[in-house]
Amino acid sequence: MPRATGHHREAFGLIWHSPVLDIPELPKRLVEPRSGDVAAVAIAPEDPECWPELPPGLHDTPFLQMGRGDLRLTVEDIGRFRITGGDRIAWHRAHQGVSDQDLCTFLLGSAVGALLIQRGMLVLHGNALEKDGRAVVCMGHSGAGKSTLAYALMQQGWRLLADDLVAVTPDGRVLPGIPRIKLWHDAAKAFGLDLVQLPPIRQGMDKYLLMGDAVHSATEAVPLQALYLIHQRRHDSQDSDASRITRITSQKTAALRLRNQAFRPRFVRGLGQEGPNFMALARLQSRVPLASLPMPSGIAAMQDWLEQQDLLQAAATAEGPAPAQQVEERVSV
Amino acid sequence: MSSPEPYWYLASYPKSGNTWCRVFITELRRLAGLDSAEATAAAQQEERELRLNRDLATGSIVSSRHWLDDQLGIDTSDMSWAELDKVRGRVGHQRAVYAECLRYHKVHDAFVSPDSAAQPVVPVEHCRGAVVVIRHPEDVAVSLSHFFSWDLERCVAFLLNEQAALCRSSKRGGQQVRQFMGTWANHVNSWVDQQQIPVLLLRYEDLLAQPEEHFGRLTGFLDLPSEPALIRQTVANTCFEKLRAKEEEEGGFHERPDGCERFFRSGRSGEGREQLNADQLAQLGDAFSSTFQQFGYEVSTRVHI
Repeated sequence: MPRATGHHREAFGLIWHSPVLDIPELPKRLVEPRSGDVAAVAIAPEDPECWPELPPGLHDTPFLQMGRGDLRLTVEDIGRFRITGGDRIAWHRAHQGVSDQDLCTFLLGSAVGALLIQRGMLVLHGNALEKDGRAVVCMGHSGAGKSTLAYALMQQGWRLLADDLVAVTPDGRVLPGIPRIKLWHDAAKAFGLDLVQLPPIRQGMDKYLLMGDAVHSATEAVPLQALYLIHQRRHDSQDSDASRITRITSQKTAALRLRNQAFRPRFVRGLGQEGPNFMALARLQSRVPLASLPMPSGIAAMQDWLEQQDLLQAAATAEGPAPAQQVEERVSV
Repeated sequence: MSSPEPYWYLASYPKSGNTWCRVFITELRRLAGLDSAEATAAAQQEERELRLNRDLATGSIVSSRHWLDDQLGIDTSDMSWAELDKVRGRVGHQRAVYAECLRYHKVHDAFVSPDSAAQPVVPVEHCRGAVVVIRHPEDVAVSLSHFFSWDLERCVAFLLNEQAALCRSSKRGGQQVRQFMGTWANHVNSWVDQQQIPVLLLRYEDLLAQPEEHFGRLTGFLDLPSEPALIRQTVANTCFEKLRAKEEEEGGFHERPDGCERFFRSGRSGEGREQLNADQLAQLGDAFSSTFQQFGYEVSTRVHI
């Protein structure tokens, strides 16, 4: 159990204790934890030479080795991470030129996600936003525009619960996660943000980090009301479903889509968590509506369109696909 | 690690017949009964997405961010293009979790990039070879112009640009990572001259003129059934008119890429010679003369019609 030394931070209902590496993206815990109060995670430097050998796993890649309760990740020229037992992240800096920020970026993206999976938590790849004590989760593959959408919603009074990694409890609540947004140069500029004032996510990259006062964040777990799969809409579409929120009505389609949006399915498999994960997804699907969200291209058009939507209710009230689309839906999963 | 499965690359400069070859392979496997109806449907869906996405996003293109994220275990949008090119060739070849039809990888990258330190940008371990499809750059210019809605001058400049790349902006996200190509000649030579994996060179013009012979070379190289009757039938089912008709038919309920009127537009060869001006033809001829010679392409002068 880590000592209370002022390095305590809190996210996903856990206390994170990292005495050597400061991780400013994780919110500070205002109250010092009492022993046994909340589960704690230790984050500490370690020499990978001391890590015991891991037998090759079926889902390993040259950069990733996994066994039950043990995941090793190598990020070329940045560092190595070992996540064990759902309560420890060990890190190693590849060389002195690697900044703390470089380490934090990959630690928060991959190591934290692996740890949550080890704890048996349901982790989705997306953003969670809160309004009126309810949450929506917007999911999509890398590059789909999740962060842009999250920032646009924040401009419209939503509060950010979690970015990138979204953890949902068995009783259907979204836990406050990492309250930051990473915006690409073009999106940040289109929102009228002053790029000079924003820190890049890593030195030299045209992608910026919004955190602290730059985001409105929610700090309490709230019930999940709706799930959205986002995709970019096209200008010249003749398809009537392409410009409206469409409920995914087929149970099979919903299950496959959700499975594909779980955070890093390879981690889930390699860590032996596929069974529990499947059950958690099925439970989620049975209680929360899933819909596709076609985002208009262009920030202004997207903001205008979002103004007219009631995302807390839309997934549940939206119609399913038009008959011609149902065939498509079957083959496109 | 899972046991290695055979895989091949279909490498080409954009708009040179790569999708045509992939459609051919899918259809041949369907006719030969090599794939289940489900696998064929998945592959066809993938082809459709290939054509319908302006940035050519697809599950099995080697530059897919989704695939790289899965293999590397990180969010690749946290890395610079230079950092990525150093690792891409070493990602190994694990089957992407939940993805189908990964045997024939489409790739538009040049074999190496200035950032990859002379190492291949694509994995080569256990790779059985690369089918390199080339097309006369004059015709590529015309096709690019329709696909990207660029004028011909810009397309010619792109073919000649030593830094040319797809998805090269570092200022926005996207479903693919940057794909360095350099000039058209650099791209072709990077694949043909490399010594690490076997190469089958196919010219788009030959696939058009003698489809059975040259698609037969393709099936032989890919260890696919090569009976003449099967190839004849597949060629007939995937001829340009059929693909175009299919695209029209699908247009009714499918989205088309912004600005691009249709993917299977003309397919003809010789359009470049008719549409490019004398100066543009000369620029391509001068810059690529040795490569033209090597692959039996003529340098065009302006044809008056």
